[in-house]
Amino acid sequence: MLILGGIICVASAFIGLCIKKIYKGRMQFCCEMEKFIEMVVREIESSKTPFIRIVEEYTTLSSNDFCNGLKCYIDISKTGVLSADKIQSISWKTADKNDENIIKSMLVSIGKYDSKTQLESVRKSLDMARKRLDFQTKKYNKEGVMAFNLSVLIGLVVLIIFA
Amino acid sequence: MKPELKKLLSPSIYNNTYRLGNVTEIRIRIGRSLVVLSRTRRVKCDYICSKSDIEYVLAVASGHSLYAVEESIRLGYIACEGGIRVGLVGEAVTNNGVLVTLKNISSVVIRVPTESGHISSTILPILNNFTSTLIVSPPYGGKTTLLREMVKRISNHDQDILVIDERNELSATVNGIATLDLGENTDVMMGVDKVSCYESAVRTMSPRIIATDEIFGNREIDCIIDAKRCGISVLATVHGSSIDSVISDKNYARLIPIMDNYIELSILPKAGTVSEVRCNCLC
Repeated sequence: MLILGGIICVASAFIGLCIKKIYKGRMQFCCEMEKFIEMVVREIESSKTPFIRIVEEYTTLSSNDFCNGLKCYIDISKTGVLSADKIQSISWKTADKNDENIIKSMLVSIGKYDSKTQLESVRKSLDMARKRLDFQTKKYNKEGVMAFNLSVLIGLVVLIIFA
Repeated sequence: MKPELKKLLSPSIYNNTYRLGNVTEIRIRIGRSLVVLSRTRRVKCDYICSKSDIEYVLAVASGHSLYAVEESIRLGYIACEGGIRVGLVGEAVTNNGVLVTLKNISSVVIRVPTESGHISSTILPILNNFTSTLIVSPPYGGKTTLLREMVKRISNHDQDILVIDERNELSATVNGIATLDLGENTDVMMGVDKVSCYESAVRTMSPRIIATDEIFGNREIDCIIDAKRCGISVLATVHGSSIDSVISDKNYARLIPIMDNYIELSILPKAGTVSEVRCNCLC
């Protein structure tokens, strides 16, 4: 019984860890998105760097789920016109749908306007990304950490009962 | 077909052009037939161009970033890799009479640069002992090609040349690196108007020769006269049907005292044909 209790305890803790990881992934996605959009604003403002070059530079700096999605964007750009449908087909494993929509709508609208209008539009995306990062960080600290603690606690309770 | 050109064309345009061989120019007009030019012929294709063809060219030429090329769009072109230039025509957006940008682009002309590697024997004496030279040619006469070739050869004779490449046609610079060979001793100032460039370039780079394409208007002529006064030789091109038609113009006549040589190009029998060379024509 003790062994069974131990197994249930470990499994429960593992489930809690997985839930925590989901929340952490969403938070990290928002963090990466904010960093990326900040870079886009900086590059457009200072040197009007073409977007594809910004993406290429960013994706060489780090390798994670967010960058993998951006790499798909580069691949699509090589085929010619970046249509909204093609951009909508990009998906991120760790992202929440609402967060994904911020980056997707930015990718759809980027490169179609003059620098002033483009900067306004990208800054709006940056504001939204910051709000979402704030939201996801709070959610991770509250729900993610709580889910892990609870699952460990439940596991321990089960272990005690079985023991 | 150059890979840089292939990249610019939508699949339907490419399918209609790849068979035509040495393409030098492609004209795409919405609702009109596709026109393709090579060095020897002009072909009107059956294919009727659409707005999406132009959007494709614009997207690829701008690197999917119109904001990055807004200055050159205002000037009516986008410079691409391999020295290819996309000329644009559309609806002008003005602010207090000043052209701000172009919208609803209705026609594009894709021009592919040619590197001849050949230079007429009548021009060789000018290259051997270079002094200020003006190349006169009608449009499509090959003046940019000749200018590029002359710059390359003079530069390889250990002469420091500064190329003022306002429209990125001479050097085809991409990410700060010239993709067309302009010789060993050539410095390229790109994307800046000639007038702004002359003064700073003369002071900072102290070139022996300044080369520039398509001089236009009094301010540019003033700059050339000033450069010559500073002891710098000038190699320049100008649009014109003949040497006489250029120097008879009261503005361009001011170049007579400073230009030592004139080269006249003709489009017949083929672009780049040297029809006249005048050395030290005041003597």
